[in-house]
Amino acid sequence: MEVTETGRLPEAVLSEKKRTDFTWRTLFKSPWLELMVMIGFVVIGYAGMTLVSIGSDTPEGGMSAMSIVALLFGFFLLSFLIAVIAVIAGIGGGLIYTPIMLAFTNVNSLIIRATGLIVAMFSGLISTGPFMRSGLGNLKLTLVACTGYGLGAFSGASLAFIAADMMGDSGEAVIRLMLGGLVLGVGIYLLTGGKKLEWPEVKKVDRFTRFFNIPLPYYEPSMGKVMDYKVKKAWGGMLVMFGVGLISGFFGMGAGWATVPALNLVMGVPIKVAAACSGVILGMGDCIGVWPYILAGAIIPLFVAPWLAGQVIGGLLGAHLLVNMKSGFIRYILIGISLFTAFSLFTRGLTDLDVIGDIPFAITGVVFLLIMAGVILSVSGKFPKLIRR
Amino acid sequence: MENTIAKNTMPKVPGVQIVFGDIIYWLTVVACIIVCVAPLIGFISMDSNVVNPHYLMQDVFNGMKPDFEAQDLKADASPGATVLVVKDAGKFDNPEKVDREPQIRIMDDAGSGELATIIALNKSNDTLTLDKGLINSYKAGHTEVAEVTVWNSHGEQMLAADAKAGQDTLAMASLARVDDPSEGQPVAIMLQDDTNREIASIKSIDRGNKIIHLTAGLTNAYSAGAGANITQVTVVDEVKGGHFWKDNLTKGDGLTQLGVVLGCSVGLPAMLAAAAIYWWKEKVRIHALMAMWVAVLIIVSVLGLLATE
Repeated sequence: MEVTETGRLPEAVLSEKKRTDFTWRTLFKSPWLELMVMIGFVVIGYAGMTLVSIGSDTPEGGMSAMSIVALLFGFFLLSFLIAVIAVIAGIGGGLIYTPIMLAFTNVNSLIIRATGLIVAMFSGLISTGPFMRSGLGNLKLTLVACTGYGLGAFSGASLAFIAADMMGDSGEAVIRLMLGGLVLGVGIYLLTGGKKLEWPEVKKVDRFTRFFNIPLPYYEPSMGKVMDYKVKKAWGGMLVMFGVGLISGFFGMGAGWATVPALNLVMGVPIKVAAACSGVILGMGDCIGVWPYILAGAIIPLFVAPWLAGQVIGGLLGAHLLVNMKSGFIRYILIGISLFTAFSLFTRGLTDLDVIGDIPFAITGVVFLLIMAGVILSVSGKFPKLIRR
Repeated sequence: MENTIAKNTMPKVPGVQIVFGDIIYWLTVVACIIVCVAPLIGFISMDSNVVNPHYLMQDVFNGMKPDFEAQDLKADASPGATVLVVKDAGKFDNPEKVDREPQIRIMDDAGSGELATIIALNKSNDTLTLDKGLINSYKAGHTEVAEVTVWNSHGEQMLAADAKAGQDTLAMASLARVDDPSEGQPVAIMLQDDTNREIASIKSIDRGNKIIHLTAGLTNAYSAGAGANITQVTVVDEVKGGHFWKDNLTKGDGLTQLGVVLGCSVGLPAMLAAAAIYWWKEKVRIHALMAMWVAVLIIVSVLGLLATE
């Protein structure tokens, strides 16, 4: 913690600490007040639906009301959990949601990918307010990145429909295989740690980037300092973000895992600022990318509602409560999820294309147990150095 | 990288950022509250939703396609025919691959048509095999075939008198839950008893005498006192689209969709506000233009001005 020459904390820092310290009165202020209101509505909603469902008739060929409530509440809890994990790990929730749903359910891939964008964007949208207010988020940087990302996300979503049309019956299998490859790549990327620089050194700012006047000093509570930074290669950032948006829109899985390194490595944005802006960029870009899915009817309101609510509440709670939690533990779990999901996507895609037969449950179980064993060993620090790095 | 240590001043966050962030934050909170409450409204009266949740959720988990478009009939079809030739049979759900029997609506230019069920499809010669023969005849080039979802959306109604095969009128005990057909909104009913089940279209309703006039004669006979009943069904032959909520705000799923649409549009007012502040207050035109660019992309996307196919 930085101190003044007299040994006292700077006044500005003290007032900031006082503002953010938690007391019971805090519960009646933003964001806790709206958080409690939203949780209250969730309780009312699901309790009410459960009461209405008790004893209700199920028409022939339809799903029972109680099953629907159980599914919706399960989705809400899962979405809440995904949002918390996504916030801690600094990735979009779509990375977890979309592959899992594609691998383990019969729901049409367009519906899954459409809902995946909702999952990817809403934890980012709800975190926009706090990040922008604190100065950790940078609107100018967001705008520069969004110009490329938004166009990419829209193009990707449009391509998804064209691809679905052209690929016919085998399309679902091909999408699963492609996504399997992508998720495996992300798993390996997380496994090797990814190259990220906490404070990238920017020696020279090019003229094009200087034109946008992007830097914005912010208060860093963990260091008790106000941090300033420079950024570079805005044009490169725009181009890379177009590609990132394309992947996000096509697969409906968000792209926080790609946005953060893109801003960090290409533009030299400090990792924490990149992570904060990543959610805002995803939220803005997917406001564009999600609409081709909505207009095509791929957003099923009842199906999407619990995912949306879970992301908002989980994202808000996760951002405030778990901001100091170590992300290493979550990273190992994500690696495990990625590898097992990639295995399921590959085997299911190949089975649907009649390349291989049905995978026996025993083999799937052995693969799952091996991956989980690796995760547990890694968390306990007993796995080879490669994993711990 | 440069670090500067604060002495007595905190860095000032630009007002445009705070306005931008707050618009998104509060609209997202409102959207979340709507999607928490609206499904409960839909549950209180399942039949009053645009699509019945019982069937919708079952269909979603059975692999329902969201993006189907009607196909032209490529060869004439006569009454009794069980095979239809279409432009691209591969676009229809294959009954061998989905856990349900895909249903189709066949409709000609004059607006007359019928519902049928696919039991097999052949992609090499683009044919659909139906579970039973057609009632009417259809001309190639003047008929469209669309995959539909049939929902049993209204409560059961009882027959007041026996109905014979071939008969095109039904005497009803009550017509309270049967809608009048109107232009562009054909009303279909499902008749079923312990052994038979068929779908018929309503031509007109005589509410005074409680008589339903059908567009075609019944295939089977139904007895009033043998458990036969009639249910109005909702036939969805096209994707509802993103803006169906506009006409259905009092319905659970319509209201839920409003919440989703609101949440997915929050970037628009925030970007417009940021553009206005950058342009007029802060005089930073490049950022105003970039905010406008993103806002335009959102508008184009929301309105569907760029076709996806």
